[in-house]
Formats: sequence, structure tokens, C-alpha cells
Amino acid sequence: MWFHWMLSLIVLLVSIALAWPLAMYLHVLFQPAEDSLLRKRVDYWIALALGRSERESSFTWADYCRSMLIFNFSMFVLVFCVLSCQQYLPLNPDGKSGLEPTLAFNTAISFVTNTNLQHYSGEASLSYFGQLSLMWLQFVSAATGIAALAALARAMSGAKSMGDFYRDVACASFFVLLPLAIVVSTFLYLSGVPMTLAGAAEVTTLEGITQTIARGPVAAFVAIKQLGTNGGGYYGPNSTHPLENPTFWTNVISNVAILLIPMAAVWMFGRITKRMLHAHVVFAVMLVMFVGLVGYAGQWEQQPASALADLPVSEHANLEGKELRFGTLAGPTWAVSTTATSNGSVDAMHDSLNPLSGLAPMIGMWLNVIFGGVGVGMLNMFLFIVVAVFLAGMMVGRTPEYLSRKIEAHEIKLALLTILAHPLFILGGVALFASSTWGSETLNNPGSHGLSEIIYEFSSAAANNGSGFEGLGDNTPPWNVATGLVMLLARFVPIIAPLAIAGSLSQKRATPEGAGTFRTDSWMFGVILLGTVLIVGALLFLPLAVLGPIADHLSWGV
Amino acid sequence: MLYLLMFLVGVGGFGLLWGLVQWIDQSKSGAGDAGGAS
Repeated sequence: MWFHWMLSLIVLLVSIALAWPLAMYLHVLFQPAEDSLLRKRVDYWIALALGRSERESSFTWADYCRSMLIFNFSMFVLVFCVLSCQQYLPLNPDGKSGLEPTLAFNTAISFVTNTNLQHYSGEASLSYFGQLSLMWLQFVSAATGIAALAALARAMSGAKSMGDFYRDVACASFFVLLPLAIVVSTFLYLSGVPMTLAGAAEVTTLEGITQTIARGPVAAFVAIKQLGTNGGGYYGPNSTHPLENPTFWTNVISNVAILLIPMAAVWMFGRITKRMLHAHVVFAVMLVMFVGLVGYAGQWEQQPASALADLPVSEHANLEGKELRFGTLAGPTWAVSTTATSNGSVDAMHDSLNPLSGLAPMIGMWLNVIFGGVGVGMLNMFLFIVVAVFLAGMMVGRTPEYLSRKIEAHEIKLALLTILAHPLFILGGVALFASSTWGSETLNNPGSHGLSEIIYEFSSAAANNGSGFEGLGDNTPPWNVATGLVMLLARFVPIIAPLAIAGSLSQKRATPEGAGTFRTDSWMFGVILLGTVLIVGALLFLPLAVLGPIADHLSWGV
Repeated sequence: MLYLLMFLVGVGGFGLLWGLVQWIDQSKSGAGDAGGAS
């Protein structure tokens, strides 16, 4: 038994060990310009590449957000056109036609927002040009998240400028994501993952049947899909497909790649704000929740599948929907990693998890702060930090302060409204689809399990996760439009609000810390932060958990 | 025609977000000139 847990432990320890030096590197790249000569050299090369002035533009938070929206809107327009017209574009050796309009909309929004919710099967629907366009979005959408966190950290560090959005995106793409993706894709290629622009291979099997095997630039696609917490697979079955994830070690490396940048982002925030102790506390809170969820999911997944209870079948654990070449605990470990970090790739069928194990990935997406997506996980946690500091300040009767800045009504209103927007997107969508034929006619399972499928789909869209519970016929116009809009709003509202809060705080005069200041680098703050996240999460999502996975579990009579 | 409609839905979504930035920027405390433009 302990051997199975070793996989989870290896993934966790390697991720933490690699995240530490990566955070130091990120700090060098994204610290305020006035702090570093090295950063000025990096800026010189980026300015040269972009053909812009080396002098950094000085953006307000609103300018930074507007640049981000213009950039992302341009990407949406471009990729929507590519997906709609791919039959007229090059690199289409298998003659794929354009996507249906609502599916093109959903897919373009999905990849622009770093969600990668896929209502299509990549190898069957997309040309190589289409796949490469999406791969490009996997870089720049992840870079947008890193850029947003860097801007937030700079504002909180007291820097004169929030920075230049275009400079940050270029820096994150060329100096962070691209080098890491080259390393990971090389490893994947050497492990047997295809990397070619030739069309599908036709082979004759031992039985004499001709089989068509889809292939393409898979290794490059998979590397950035994991590193950028994108999650969209080259193949429909994602990382359960043997050509995306062929061996035990590709599974380990992929899982590490999922966790790497989200973990490093927390320490990057600490380094830029020069509050490493505070960053350690936040990291510890995230780690506690992560380990708790992996342990919880792994433990429940050690139970045989309820569906087999009355059959003459002996199972030591739930093996349904698992890739046994990875080991039985790889599925739940990955399920938690991929949903805690808003990645969305899968190496086991989440629909086949035992009901209470299936609750774990939903919790990851509902809280959306357990390391979270690249950059945006820490942005989400920033909102909870503001609320936790406010609550702690109110309890002791002092004006709440965070990193020497007073938190007042404007900041707390923005933080709370944004935290409440997340459940609104999920609960509103679930209510609409569960009560109409838009949802009921697309289910493959009745009762609470069917409801879990609807809950999972909207949770995945709102958390910008992109994984699917499957068992849901989600490629219909209502699903495509509704989840498309949820992904768009749920991506950018939680980026805009923290930047607005940081902009507001950075305008305030720094208050020297004294004996009465509530410290945010103590274990006590960690407990309050953890409590805030869990209590707010429980209040918002417990009814969904009871009606979905818990009712599903109880209905089996176990 | 449906392609155009879906495109406009995307334009509307981004327009909403643009409006949100404008609204926060102009709201009461005028919160936002982080670091101040030079």
C-alpha cells in the first residue's frame, strides 16, 4: 500500500524542489525595474525583439487591464477565424473542415482564457494549423496569468510602476514558458510521444486490418499544456492516451509540470514584495489543502467501485477508468493536481471515480486557490488574504493592514464581490441547465450522478480548469455558449479585481508596522487564512456537494 | 450568419469586461492609479 503513495510523494517533493529555484528566476525577470541591473538587460532584449522603446511604459492598473483585454480580444478574433476557416488554411493534410460556429466560439474562448475546455476531439476535428494556433494560445494565455501576478506583486512592493503588460507577456512567453516547454517536450519525445507534421499513419494490424493512427506535433503540445496549466489534450482522451502519456515516468514528469509554475508563483510573489515569510505561510496553507485533498481522494479510491458491489468481481481498489500502467493512485493524485491548479488534463476518467473521490476535484475547482492556475491561483488567494486580514482586524478592533497598507471599504467590497462571482457563475449555470432540457437531454446518467456531471462542467468552466467529468453530451449550442461566457467572465473578473485592489492599496501611504500590527507572516495568520478559505468555500458549495457526489455515494447504500 | 452572431457574443463579453474596468476606475475612491503614470 505505502508503495502506491510513493508516487504522490515523489510528485510533490520534486515539484517543490524545482519550484524554489524557478521562483528565484521569476523574481529576477519580474521584479521592479529600478531594483535590478539584470532585469534591465532582459528588458533590452525584449525591447529589441518587440521593436519597442527600451524604456518601460508606466501603466496604471486600469491601463494594464485594458492592454490585457485588447491583447486577449485580438487573440480571440484571430483563433475564432482560424477554427472557422481551417479548411481554407495550410497544414491540413487530413482535410479537416471548419468547426461549427458555437463550437468555434467555445474553443477560441476556452483557449484564450487558459481553460482548454474541449467540446471536440482534437485528432478528429482540428487541422495541424488549428492545433498550432491553440498551442500558441497555450503559451500566451499562461503568460497573461504570470504577467498579472507580476504586476500585482510589483504594486504591493511599493514600486513606482505597475509595469508594462506587453513586456511581461513577452518575458513570460520567451524566457519562462518556452525554455521550460523545450525541456519537457524533449523528454516526452525521447519517451515515445510523437512529434511530426506528417499526416495520420496507416498501419496493418496483426489481424490484417488497416488502422489509422492520428499523430502530429504532440510532444510540443503536451509540454505547454501541462506547464501553462492549460490542460487541453492533443487527443480527445487527453493524458490517458498512450501517445500523450506513454510511460510511468512521463506521467510523473507531466504531473510535476502541472504543479511547477503555480508553486513557484507563490514564492515569486514573496520575493518581489520582499515578504518571504508571508509567502511561506501562504504556500503552507495551500500545501495543507493540497495534501489533504490527495489523501482524501486516494483513500476513497482505495475502495472498490460501488457499481461492482453485487457482482462476482474481486477488486482491491476502484480500477474503473484507470490507466494501470501508471498505478492505481496516479488517477486520484493527478485528479487533485489538475483541478487544484486549474490545469484540466486527465490521466483517468473522473466520471469513474468513486462518488466521494469525485468530490475532491470539485473541491479543488470550487476553492480555486490551492496553488491555482499559473499566476491566477495566487491572485485568487490574494482576494482571500484581503478578506482574512479584514476579518482578523475586525476581531481585534484595529484598522486592517496588509503589507503596510490599510484595507478599507473599497478594497473589501471588490474582494468580496469577486469571491462571490465564482459561485454565482457555477450555481447560476447549474440551476439553469439542471432545470431545463439544455442539461437533462445531454446527460448519460440519471439522478445525482447526472447532476454531478452538470455541476462538474460549470465548475470546470468557472475555475478555468477545462477537465470534464465526461458522460455529458456537451457539444450542443446551449452548452457551448453558456460555458463560453462563463469561462470568459470567470477568467478576467478575478484578474481585474485584484489588480484594482493592488492599484488602490499602492496609492496609500505605507504605515510603519508596530506592536499592534496583525502579522501576516505568522502561523496564526495561516490558520485564519485556511479557515477563511474553507468556511467561505463550505458556505457557498456545501449544498452542491450534498445534492451531487454525497447523494450519489449514499444512493449506493455504502 | 451564426458565425457572425457568435463573434458578436465574444465582442459583447469583452465589452462587458472593458466596462467593468472603466466602472471600477471611475468609482468612488478613484482607486486606481497604481504607481502613477509618468
